[in-house]
Amino acid sequence: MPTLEGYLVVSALLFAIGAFGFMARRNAILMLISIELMFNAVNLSLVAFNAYLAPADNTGAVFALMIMAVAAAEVTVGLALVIAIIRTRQSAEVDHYADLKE
Amino acid sequence: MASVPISGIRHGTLTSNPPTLRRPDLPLTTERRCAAYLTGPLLAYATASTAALESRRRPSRAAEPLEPSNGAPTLDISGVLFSVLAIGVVGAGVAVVTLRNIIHSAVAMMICFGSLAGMYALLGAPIVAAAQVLIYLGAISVLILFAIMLTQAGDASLPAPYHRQMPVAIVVALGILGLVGWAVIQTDWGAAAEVAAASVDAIAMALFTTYALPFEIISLLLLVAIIGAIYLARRPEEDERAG
Repeated sequence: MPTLEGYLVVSALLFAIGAFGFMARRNAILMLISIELMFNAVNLSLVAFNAYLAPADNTGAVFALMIMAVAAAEVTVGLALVIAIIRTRQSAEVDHYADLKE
Repeated sequence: MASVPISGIRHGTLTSNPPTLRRPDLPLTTERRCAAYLTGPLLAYATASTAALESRRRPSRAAEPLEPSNGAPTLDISGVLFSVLAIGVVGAGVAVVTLRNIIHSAVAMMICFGSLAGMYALLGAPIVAAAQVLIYLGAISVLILFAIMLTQAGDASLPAPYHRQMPVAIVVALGILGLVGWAVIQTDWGAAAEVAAASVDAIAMALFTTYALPFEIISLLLLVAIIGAIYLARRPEEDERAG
């Protein structure tokens, strides 16, 4: 039988993978994908907590559904920003977005 | 064929009697007898699952003996499913951040989201699994694929996909993993051994009574996000043409 610890370890692995992708990749869209991976890791841990620790009140599932809605809004605005920046800079690499530094 | 009642099955225990069909108006042909033999175990499994779910939802009925008393070794299907889905989630996640072609990364992300939907179903949260498939697999993946195809002209592969701070990123990610994993293993959760299936009714009641205000705020947030995305992604020359 799968245990709560098993789900939480998978969640921690996915969160670490997402954090690595966010820090290590240079493509702006792939950084957004990594953020989505981290959202999903948190969602998995919330649903696992709900199922194993507090099955009576469905707070974890409700929270996960709300995180999904917020993630959809976030990725919509984020991708629109990335498309606008790529259109003006002709590059998807975040190192080329350094106008504020110069 | 599923509508034909079959005797000899009660709470998952398949007796040695051959299943018979209670349709005396129809002749008992060899085909129908074979079909009864084939669907019998399936129906028995479905009956056993339904009975187990019912007893889990209503604790007063849990006293009824459900498992077969012959002590046959049962295959741990949920453990096997969890292993397969965990490998899918972690493997696809690693593929997302390591593949050079960003379209391949996006496809690996879809595999990762699909495996996560299976995990939610395994956790007894079918409404979250359905929302995962609808929102992540349906909406967000298509949005990301469209954004990639709008922005990456020609070959989407980058010569050097990694930032120069990649070694630091590995250290930080391993640090996060170590800290969280250590906390998970050290803590005595006192968790239930069995997952109880969450009823969709209860989640809907919580969503529209206790959490009605956050629900409405999220609808407002989605509206703002739609307007903002349309404003941001609009081409500047369309602006000038319009006015």
